[in-house]
Amino acid sequence: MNATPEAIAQLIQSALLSPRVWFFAVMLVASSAVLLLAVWFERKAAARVQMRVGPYHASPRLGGLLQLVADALKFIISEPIVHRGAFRILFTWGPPIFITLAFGASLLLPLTPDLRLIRDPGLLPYGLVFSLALLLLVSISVVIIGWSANNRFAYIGAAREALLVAAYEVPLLLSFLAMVILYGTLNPLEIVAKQYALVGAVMNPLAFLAFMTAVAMATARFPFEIADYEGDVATGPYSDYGGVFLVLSFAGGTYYAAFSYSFLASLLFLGGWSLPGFSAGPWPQDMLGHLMLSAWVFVKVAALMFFLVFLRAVMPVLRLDHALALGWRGLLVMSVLSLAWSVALRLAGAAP
Amino acid sequence: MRAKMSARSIIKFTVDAFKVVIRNFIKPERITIYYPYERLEYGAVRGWIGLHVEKCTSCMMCARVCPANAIKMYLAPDGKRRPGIDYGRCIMCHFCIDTCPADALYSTEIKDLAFYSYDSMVFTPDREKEPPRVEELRKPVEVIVDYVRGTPRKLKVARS
Repeated sequence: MNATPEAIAQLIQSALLSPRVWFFAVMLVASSAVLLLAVWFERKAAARVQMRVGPYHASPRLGGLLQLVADALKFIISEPIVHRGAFRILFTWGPPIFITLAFGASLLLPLTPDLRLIRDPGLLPYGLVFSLALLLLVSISVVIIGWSANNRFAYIGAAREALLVAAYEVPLLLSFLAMVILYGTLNPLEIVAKQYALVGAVMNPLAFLAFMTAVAMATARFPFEIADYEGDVATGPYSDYGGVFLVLSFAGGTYYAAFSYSFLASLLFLGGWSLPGFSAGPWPQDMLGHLMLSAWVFVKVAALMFFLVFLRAVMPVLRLDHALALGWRGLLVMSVLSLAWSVALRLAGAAP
Repeated sequence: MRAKMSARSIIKFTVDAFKVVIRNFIKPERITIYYPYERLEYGAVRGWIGLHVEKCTSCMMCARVCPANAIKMYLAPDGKRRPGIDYGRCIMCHFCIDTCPADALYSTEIKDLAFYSYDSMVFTPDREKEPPRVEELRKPVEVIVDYVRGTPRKLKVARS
């Protein structure tokens, strides 16, 4: 290979205009921003409802928005402790696996028609399925963490998580399947194109409700914060974590999982990047249009995440058996009904 | 034992919870005081205890009567012992002031005692001699919290 200055300049130019590089950068920046806003909203909303003020002193002008940055900095510079009796390898590798699965799932989905990591359009359906599969593996990393800590609370938390997985996994998959049957395709580009007139949440509201409830269970949002509920089991599987481990697993990782689930739900149910009366041109020429479309996607993701974190102010924590009963008796029935509704729509020819 | 709830009541309770929360979210009733920027009007509360060193007779009555054992007698260069107060322990009962036969201990209006370290809580006789410097608040606001029809409300009385 001849490394002439022209060739190098060409290489740099193509890298700067590459949709993959832009996708990666946009996802990293936007996910951090959405997470910052969501955690801030969670704290402030719960505080407003509970007669408090919430974080304020870290940045009074912004209403305490930078408190999360201060918290993250504190956790990152504090010493990560691996206690005696822990299974060292899994204890230290659990959190990185957790966050890789949680955030990696969202990298397999397209942000706009051109901004995506999977270049081959034929592979996009596999990306959609694979992202859901990665998100469902997060619960296994939670069980790994709980087992490796060698702590009673962590062990009980891991067992609870395993029980909850059995309750939410099937409804999650069934409601996903209902939407796939409704659209008749697994390709995210086609799925979004078919929601041009009517979004999926309107076409099949039961599936949306079942999916979001299952997501609240999967990411330990409030009525289902059972595996790591402080009142019972002292942050459950994450009891022995501190410092950067906690950031990667409990304090950051669950929010990244919520972000990925919300991203998936925004494509499946809320119409993704479809903005009536606006469409982006081909990638390098219409860069601004693509960035606007991705901002529109992130608005939807943020709305879903705000709803998920707002539940903390609304709900008490369910008892484990009540949550399991809700999963098996309520969510499962609801997702089967949504599946039947999708099949009926498709048989009647009303599906898009 | 299993609490049997109908789907209808589950939906009703959920909607009710959302109603309450959204009402409070839109119009919050906060009683928190933005502490460094606002301060409470404490009313009739006992304050910081000062010491007139020249009146003290080293009788140690204050140290004996102190129910929290907050007073310790410090040896001065002139051979006398004088009380120093540990505000980490002091419960502001002012028994020491009441019991002092020489009126050497006196109470002040300084009611807002906050410290940056444990060491600065311990007042030796030298520090007890004159009242501590009161740090200027950035935005002093006097606040009163009171119950209005069963719920606590923050009633601001003065903003200077």
